[in-house]
Amino acid sequence: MTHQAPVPLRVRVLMAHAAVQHLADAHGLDVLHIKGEAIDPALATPDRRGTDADVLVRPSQAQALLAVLQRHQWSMQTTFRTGSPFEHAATLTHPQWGYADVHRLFPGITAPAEAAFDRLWAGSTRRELAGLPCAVPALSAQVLILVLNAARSGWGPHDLEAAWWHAPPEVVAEVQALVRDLGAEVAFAAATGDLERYRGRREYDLWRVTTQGGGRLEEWRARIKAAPDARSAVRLAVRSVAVNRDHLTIRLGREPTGREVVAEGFSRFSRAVREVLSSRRRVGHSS
Amino acid sequence: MTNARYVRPPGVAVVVTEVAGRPVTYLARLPDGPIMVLEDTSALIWGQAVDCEEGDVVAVVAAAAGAQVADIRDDVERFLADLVRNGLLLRQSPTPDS
Repeated sequence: MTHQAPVPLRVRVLMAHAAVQHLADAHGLDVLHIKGEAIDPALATPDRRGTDADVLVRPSQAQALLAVLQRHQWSMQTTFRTGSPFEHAATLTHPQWGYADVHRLFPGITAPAEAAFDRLWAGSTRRELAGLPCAVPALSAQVLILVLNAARSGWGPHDLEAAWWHAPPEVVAEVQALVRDLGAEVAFAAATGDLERYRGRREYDLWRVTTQGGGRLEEWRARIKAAPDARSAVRLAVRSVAVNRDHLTIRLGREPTGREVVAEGFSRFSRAVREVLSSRRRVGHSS
Repeated sequence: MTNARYVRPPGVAVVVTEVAGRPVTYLARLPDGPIMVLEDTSALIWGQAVDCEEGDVVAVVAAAAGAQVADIRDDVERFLADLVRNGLLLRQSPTPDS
């Protein structure tokens, strides 16, 4: 009757959304499905289909969701701390559903994470993914998330045509209100080509480096400068020279040995030193 | 007779699509799977079963497939029973067989 056969990636992604929602419902956890297959067709860019299921979890429930997922054959690939310099998402993989990114915040939003989630949750609706009603942000919030994602992913202006440049006036007004409420002005401006208006903001360098490129050292300097408080800044400064063990594991295809972790640490240190020297040389040439 | 009503069970995910012009239905019991694949006629039968609110599912499938009810009844009913047994279809309020 039925059989198991190669399953298209899009089908796996849709099923991953449904599987996460099913577990969230069963355990009373709030998740919003974002990006990729979850976005409204009116905003979708055909050549930007998702390769994983992205969800934004209520931050105070993030660890609970990860624990539930891991009880159902999901394996952690990267943790929040090691997933990206923004520490915003953990990546998990499942033998049936493939990859899922669990976000506990969205880069570019500076409002306190729980309050930001409340704001997004308040306007959420349901959209069927693989036949299951999944919670998705309101249309205006989807636009905001796509624009912020574009800033981080280095997308060009054409990627935002459907979502932002051609958005109807009422949606534009709602998005602008959300940008203000969520403190996302700088990242939003970075994606829409208006970053220079925010030259005086502490996040300015971070989004300049993110959208226009820069060395690792410059990136970490910008990240430390953008940190909301001294404690976060110190933690980031310490992390900037620590080895990301999860990424090293993925690159090697196995658990790294202690020697390899140490070697990677020296390699990162050398890279940072080279960047300092080359930036000094550039300064020397120009002066 | 097959005058039962069939529905997709709660907690079963479904994606109905086409692969190379052929109907394919992917089904999975949540939250763990696996993903099962129904192709061609089997996809047609599952789809007609959940769409058919009243009446004989076999007759609906026969009409859709351009076949005689008598020729396909045993196979379709056996397949529907398999789907129910595997948790991919739920039989509701069955009327007694005549």
